[in-house]
Amino acid sequence: MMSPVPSARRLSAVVLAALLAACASKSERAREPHTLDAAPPAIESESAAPAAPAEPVQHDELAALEQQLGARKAQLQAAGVVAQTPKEAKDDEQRLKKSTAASGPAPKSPTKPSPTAPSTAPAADAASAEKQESPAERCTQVCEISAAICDLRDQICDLLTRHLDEKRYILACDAAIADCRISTEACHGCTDN
Amino acid sequence: MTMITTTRRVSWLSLLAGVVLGACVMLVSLAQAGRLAPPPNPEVLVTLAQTLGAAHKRVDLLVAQKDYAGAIATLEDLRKGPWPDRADAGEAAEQLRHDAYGRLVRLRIDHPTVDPRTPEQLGELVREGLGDDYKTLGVNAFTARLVGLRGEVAEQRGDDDAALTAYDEALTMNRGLLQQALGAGR
Repeated sequence: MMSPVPSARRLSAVVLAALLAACASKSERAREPHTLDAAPPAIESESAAPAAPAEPVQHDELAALEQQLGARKAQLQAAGVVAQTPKEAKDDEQRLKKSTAASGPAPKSPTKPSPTAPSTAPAADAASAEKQESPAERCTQVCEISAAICDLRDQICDLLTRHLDEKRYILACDAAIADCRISTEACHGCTDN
Repeated sequence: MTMITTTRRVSWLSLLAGVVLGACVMLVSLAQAGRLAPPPNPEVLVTLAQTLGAAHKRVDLLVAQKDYAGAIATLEDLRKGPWPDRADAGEAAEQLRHDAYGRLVRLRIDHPTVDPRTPEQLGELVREGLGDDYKTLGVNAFTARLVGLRGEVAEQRGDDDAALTAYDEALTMNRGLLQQALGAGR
């Protein structure tokens, strides 16, 4: 009389475990693109700056990349993705034609030329914080963020030189200096370990 | 026998009800915890990331050859091409757009004589890249960088107040990123 209940319990435990496992794996799979794991080509390409390879090789590579770009775009279009900004791009072209004819100088070069840096490694991306990173990777990430914070400090405090009496600029510069100091300490603390 | 059969039927029904209820509760909890928010079309996101990867690689090569016009043209082409929105490929699609626009704006600022743009046009470019609802995105390095570039462009326009606002916003984002990075190590 009692036997059906324990076997049902066992069965229910097995079914629930299977369901949990299935849901967990589905959840993991679903999360992957959000962590920008789908972006490694971008990440790798950024660090893989060519060390002046032979000219023909570069030409071949450029042509191959152009082909690849065309193929990917066709894939996106086939998936039903359309250009989001065709109107803006078109308007922009028209504006450019007008403004280059009418307007004056091109934007001046920044006072502090910054490197034409490739994008920050998406390791620093918020979404990727979810995945397990090695201490070295995390440290690199902390130091990259610290560098970005200190660059912003420079930019904010440079503004202060033109607004010496304005409280908003003074406070912003002070806060940025503190942020840079804290983040630099975090970076050094991380690399020292 | 009848009693046993009835008991079994009741047990199976309650088991089934329990499983269904448990699954529903779990799905709702995971969704509420933000762990079940797959992009509607993951394949599109993967293709987009591959497209961006190829574009970055091409730009790397062109910059190494000092062909800044070519590098800018590559990114302009990417900008005008198909780009999925949040509904197609989730938040990551927008973050990747910020990455592409960030590199394009950086190149345009650093090489102002190549296919020149006025500060106003650069401002338009940044606005277009950021989109209307970038503030609803999770904090990320790409958006933070593009917001910082908005500050540089505002400075070029002579609008220091707008520049400070943008730098401050970018700083706040980076502060959040730092907290996340430090928190992840604990």
